Amino acid sequence: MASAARAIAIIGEIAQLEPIAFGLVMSLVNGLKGKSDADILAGDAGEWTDIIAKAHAEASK
Amino acid sequence: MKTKHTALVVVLLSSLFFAGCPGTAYHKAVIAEHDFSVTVAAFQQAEIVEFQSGRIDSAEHLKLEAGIEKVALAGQTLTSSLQSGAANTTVQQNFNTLSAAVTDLMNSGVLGVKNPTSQQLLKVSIQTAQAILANVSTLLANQTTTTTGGK
Repeated sequence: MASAARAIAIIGEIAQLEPIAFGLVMSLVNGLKGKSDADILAGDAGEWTDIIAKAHAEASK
Repeated sequence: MKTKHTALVVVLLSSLFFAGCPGTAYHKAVIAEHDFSVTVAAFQQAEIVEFQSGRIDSAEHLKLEAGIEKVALAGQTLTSSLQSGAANTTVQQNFNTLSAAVTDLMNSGVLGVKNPTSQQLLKVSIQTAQAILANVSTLLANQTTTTTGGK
């Protein structure tokens, strides 16, 4: 319990010192809430397809 | 150096959040793959903005996008392996291939960017991606990953 309280205290300190980094991490964490591994992987498969399509489109400009 | 500091904090904070996650090695590999895909998408977005703003020239842009495509193809293979419940050794090989593609993107793309501010920005994103891969590589080397049914 003591280590959990310590971890929460450290996270709180970082949130104050690095709000941008903290916001990015929280969006990563929140994006995964309530999703199974299969859901996450299905979403990522679509993400990779989008990245590849965008890279093709940019290369042909 | 502020951006480098920020990237380091993102990696450290992600580790703090996800280290406490009670999941299996498989689940942690999925989370790492997800973090990695988010980082690559952010890298591509940042690269396009730098190009559109004129801070990256056409030749640099083409090299970077070609490198991003290689990374994304390797990422796609890794995602398929995780989805099909491939063996731990296969997943490890996929992560190694991904790592090589990221290193290539850094060496043949990012380090060739002439604008120092743009180069630094892109370098930090790549370093974040490399840190995620290094973490997962250690995890997979130390554990036997059961690649089915992790939630």
